[in-house]
Amino acid sequence: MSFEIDLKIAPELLAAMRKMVGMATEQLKQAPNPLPAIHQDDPEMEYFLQEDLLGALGKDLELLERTLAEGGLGDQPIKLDEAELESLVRACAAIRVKVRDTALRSISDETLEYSDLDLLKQPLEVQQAYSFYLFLAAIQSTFISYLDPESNPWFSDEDDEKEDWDEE
Amino acid sequence: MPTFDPFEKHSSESSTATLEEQDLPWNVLVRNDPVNLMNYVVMVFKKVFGYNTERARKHMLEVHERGVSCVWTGSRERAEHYVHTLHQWQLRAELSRQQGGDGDNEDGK
Repeated sequence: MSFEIDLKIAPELLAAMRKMVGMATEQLKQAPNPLPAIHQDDPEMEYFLQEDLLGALGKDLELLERTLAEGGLGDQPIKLDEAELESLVRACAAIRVKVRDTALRSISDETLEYSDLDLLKQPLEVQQAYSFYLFLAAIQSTFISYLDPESNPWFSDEDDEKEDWDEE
Repeated sequence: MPTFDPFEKHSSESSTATLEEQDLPWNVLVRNDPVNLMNYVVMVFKKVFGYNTERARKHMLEVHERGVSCVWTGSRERAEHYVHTLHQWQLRAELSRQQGGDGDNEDGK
């Protein structure tokens, strides 16, 4: 299955996004997001799995950087197959986790989870990081809507029926 | 609502595994994080486990509201594979062998 994504992001915003993605990618290469160990009693096996994760993450990030560098999401629609789109979604997730753990580390989980941050009271670098964090979530959600339109947690058959009923 | 803590330690812990412990299935747990979006988590559960939207949403809400969900139960090998795959998707997945998991089993029941 392939998808044509026609997201036209303003050039200034796209340039800022390229810069932020590049910075986060470098941070992730140096220090991947921490995840619980699977083989605590087998360091060799754990090392092998971590290397595998790192390799897969590198490919995801590379595709996102390449897509942005080639003008994707700017003035031209991009064509991606399912695996590529999944890769971009994973890259967005990894970068958001990294931004959370670095530039947004002073923000509580609860504030972040419920998007309850008073942006104007934050230092400039937090404002920028938080804006990027939200922007990336919006892009990620757009990609997800192509991959799995039903994944919206608040969508259900009941909503469908309600809409039908409202229209009558 | 009581919270299921699969890591709760029991006083009867022993260095020698009993036959009963050896028979315990492995649970795949996913813990809540403030970063990943709800629709993202639903999509990942559907892709990784082949769950339908309803089942995936049920587990996602459990993660969100209770802090943890046992998303799958079964053999060690497959549980490890699932945890590794969930890590590729940046979800906080863990292995657990504690009794009391209510995850979907290998037959998807």
